[in-house]
Amino acid sequence: MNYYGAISRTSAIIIAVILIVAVGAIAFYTTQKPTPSPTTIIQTQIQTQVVTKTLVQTQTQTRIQTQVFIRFAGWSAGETEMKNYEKIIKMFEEKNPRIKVKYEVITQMFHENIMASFGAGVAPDVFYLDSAWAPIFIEKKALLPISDYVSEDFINQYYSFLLKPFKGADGKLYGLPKDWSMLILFYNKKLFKKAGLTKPPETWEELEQYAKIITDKTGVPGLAIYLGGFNRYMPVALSNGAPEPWFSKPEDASWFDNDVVKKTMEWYINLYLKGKIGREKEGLKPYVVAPQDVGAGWLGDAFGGEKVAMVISGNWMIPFLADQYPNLKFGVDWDIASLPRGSVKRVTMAYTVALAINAKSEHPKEAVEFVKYILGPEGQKKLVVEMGHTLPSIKALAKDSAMWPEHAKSLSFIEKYDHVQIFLWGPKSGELESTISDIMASAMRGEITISKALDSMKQAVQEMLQK
Amino acid sequence: MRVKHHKLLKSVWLLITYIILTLFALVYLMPFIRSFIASFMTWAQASSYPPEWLPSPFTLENYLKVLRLDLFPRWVFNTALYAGIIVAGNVFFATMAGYAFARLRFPGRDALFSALLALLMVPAFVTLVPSYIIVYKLGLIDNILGLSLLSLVHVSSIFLMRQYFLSLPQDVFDAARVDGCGPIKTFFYIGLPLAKPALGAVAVYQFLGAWNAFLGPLVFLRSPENFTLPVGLSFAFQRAMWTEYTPIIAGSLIAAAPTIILFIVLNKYLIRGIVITAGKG
Amino acid sequence: MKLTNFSLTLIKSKISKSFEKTRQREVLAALTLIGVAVALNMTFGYFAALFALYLSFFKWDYIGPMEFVGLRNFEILFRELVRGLHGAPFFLAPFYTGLRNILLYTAIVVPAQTILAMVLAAFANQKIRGVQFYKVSYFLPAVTCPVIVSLIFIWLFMKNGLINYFIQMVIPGFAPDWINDRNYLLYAISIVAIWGTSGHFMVSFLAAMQSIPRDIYEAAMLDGAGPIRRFIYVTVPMLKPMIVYVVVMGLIGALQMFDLAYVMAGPSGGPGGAGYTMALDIYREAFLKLRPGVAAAKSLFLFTLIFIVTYVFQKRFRVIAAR
Repeated sequence: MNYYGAISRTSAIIIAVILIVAVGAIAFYTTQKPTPSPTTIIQTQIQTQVVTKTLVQTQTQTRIQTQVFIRFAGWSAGETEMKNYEKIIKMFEEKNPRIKVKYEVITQMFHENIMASFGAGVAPDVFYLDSAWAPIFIEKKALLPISDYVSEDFINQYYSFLLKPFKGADGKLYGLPKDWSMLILFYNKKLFKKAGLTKPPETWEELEQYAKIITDKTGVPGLAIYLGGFNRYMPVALSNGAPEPWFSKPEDASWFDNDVVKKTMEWYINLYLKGKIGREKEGLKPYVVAPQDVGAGWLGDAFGGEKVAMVISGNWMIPFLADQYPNLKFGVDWDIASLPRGSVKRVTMAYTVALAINAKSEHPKEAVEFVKYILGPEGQKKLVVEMGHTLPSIKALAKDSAMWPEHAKSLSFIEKYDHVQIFLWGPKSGELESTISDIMASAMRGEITISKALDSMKQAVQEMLQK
Repeated sequence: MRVKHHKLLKSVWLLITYIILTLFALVYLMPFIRSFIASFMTWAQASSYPPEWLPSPFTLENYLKVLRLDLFPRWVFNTALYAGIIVAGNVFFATMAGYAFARLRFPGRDALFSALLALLMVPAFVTLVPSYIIVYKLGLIDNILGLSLLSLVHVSSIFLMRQYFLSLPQDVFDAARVDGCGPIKTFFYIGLPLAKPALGAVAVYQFLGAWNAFLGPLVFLRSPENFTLPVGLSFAFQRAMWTEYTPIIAGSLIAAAPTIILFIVLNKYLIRGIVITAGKG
Repeated sequence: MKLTNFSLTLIKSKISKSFEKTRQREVLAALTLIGVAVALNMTFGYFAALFALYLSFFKWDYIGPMEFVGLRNFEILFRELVRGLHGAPFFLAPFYTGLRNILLYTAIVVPAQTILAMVLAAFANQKIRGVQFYKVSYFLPAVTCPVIVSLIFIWLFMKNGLINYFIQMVIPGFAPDWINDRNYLLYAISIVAIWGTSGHFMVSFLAAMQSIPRDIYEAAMLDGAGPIRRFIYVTVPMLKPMIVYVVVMGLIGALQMFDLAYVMAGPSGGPGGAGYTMALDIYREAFLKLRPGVAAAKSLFLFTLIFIVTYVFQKRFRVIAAR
């Protein structure tokens, strides 16, 4: 038996190949990385200026014309959006040759990543900021007060209700909304016709009635809602006169003691409790379902697959329907309406994202310039209006010709609303939303009584806001 | 009589074997079969109940959506590069370390190994922020090389190689030493050739881990051009409110194809390697 | 006399010197071999772990400075555990829910995936036709990305999905809503985990089985042992180091499970926290509740748990092996 001898050929080849690949990869990769060369653009500029200016002036020009890099981070909405951003950034860079923008995409867990980058001291200069996260960042003084850098006129071009979440306690504005979405009532015209209904429901009670009628006449559930969904319930409460919620101290949990809140919460939970569970117990078809009850992953699939007649969802449904259910025609097969009225007023929810600037950014002025461009009329026209995923936050763009007809129609509802509530009720909105929704879902399934649910919600809020 | 009885038992056993193997194969393959069929359907049909098995209309749109992505070839390249570096690093350095921990004696050997093993038990998020800081300070964020550093010599590979070396008979190595072979020579001439099956396993595991890695690339890569396939697919088809399921299914099948092919190829090599070493015995 | 004494001592010193030299060479060689491995892991592993240890005594929000709070984070941790033991609902005692769920999950997944991997490897190890096909089929799940696979399984586990469709054929009327039913979510996640990892470990076992010499089997066969007995009394004992590896890796992975739960149950852990795991809780503490100090304390707890479990297993297994 021969233990020695050369390493067998195959092993040698394998090792060699691996090494070559590794070395080659490293070599290739390091040469691949584009090294930013700040001097190239400046040189051409100086060439042209030599002709017109004196030498002294060109020298000062060289000194102040150092190139600035700013980093901009967002989450993704696919490759088309990324390409649009790249086009806009190119246009911006052409107009502002001193500024170079590096666009970074964090596909999942965006805010967590931003937090971690703050912790590492390497947060980007400009980044998306969801309204629900705004209070935390503002309170921790992580953001630059944009209102100090832009004119009143500039700020006034936005819907005022979109600016609220980004106002700090000092009255300064810490972010500007880049787009938004609102809750809309989607209804299936074909099913409505079959059930003999000619127009969408005007009040919440009518909503429930219509759902019953449609189910009884067509066999298809009339309404789909999420199990839970505190933010979807909120317009019901507010439109019936409940006070605007703001949970920042444990005492604020007393919002749940309000009579209107109790009544509306009971009504909302009963939508499912009676509309599905109750009905099925009697052997009848349910008139309210959750998406999973009809084999759909979310409201969009339930509505697009025509498994229900009505859903209350947002503008994001519109591009989804256009993409995944193109056979459903707007205006013919389905249509939108404003949310139903409560006993006091008509309210809808708005969801918005802002662009915020890192307070510790080394180039605040340049960052502001960039932000102004992206969410100014030029930027929004390309990124928001033409993309069609969200609504533009600039009031004037509501009449833009490139606006999708569905979105345009939803914008026309704004006048009908007495109040537009932003998805934000305190510094821990995200956590509260998920916990309260969980309790609501439990009540909807009949696992706990509604009064117990209300108590639990109160307890949860108190617990979560304890310092 | 006895012979017939024996033969009958054998064929019964063979039948049982085949039934069990096929049943399990079906269970394991079912998601793939379903995904494969669904990748040619529209989402409306794929989500219907009872599940339909014939795509009608038969559509290539999902695959086209993936292939139309400009960045898709770049992602394939990035993923291959990342996987290549990880495999090379693990095969090379983990084997050396595993051998040293198994066969060589040096002060603090067992303590050091236990310490390394303990690292495996540290939950992933604990290391996130600090690693983030280190990689940033090194200037290696948004860089495949920086990302590779984290798992270049994964403790699980060291563990596997050590266990494997431990399971080999001691006399093989002793004989080499008696013949005057130094520890490093013993490693290259004896240890490495004998380790081929385990090397193959390490290569396969690390390749898969790297190819399918999601959390690491998600956190440490920033520019869409630098993404690996899983993150890229998520970027392209996962929206804030919904996910485009059918293109993701198509994309994940495309992404899985190279790994399947590689496994089949490497698998045969694994067998060959074993036959060679077994033949020497 | 003197000469032999002298030569004896000379020889002795020469031997001890060469022995020392070989020892030194060995140590040097060892250091070279483990150098890169240890350095990398120490930097990215230990630095991070020590930082987390340090952090567990502080209160921090990533943006401002760190505030020393002593053992307060641990106090919060234990309060949640105690509350949970007294039956508090999920939102008041998330850590306890996470702990309970992950222990249940581990108890299901680790034995299942180990035994399944061994049995399948044993079956596949025989000289039968089509072995290649079976090997590839079992390994295929491990080839996919866990995140994307979870998405696909959500679709399969839907109330009107494929899995219920098949189950109905065997047990009519049994079609739970796996993803949304708090009683079944954890089982759904466990099934996905077993599906995904058992093939992976099957490869390890196969590789180890190949190195078992054929003659032992032949001897057993001559002794009249059937295939099952051969498996129990020959294969399993010879696979001991590999079993240790598979179970230890399985335990470590299962106790830390995050990605499956995040995708299938969502970051909030699913209905009533049915899919909530400890790792998910740590993530939530760190990034959603913005209490990285508490998250660090909880991570310490999780780490200790993993350490104890794997240590106890190794000790007990050694005892069984020694018998």
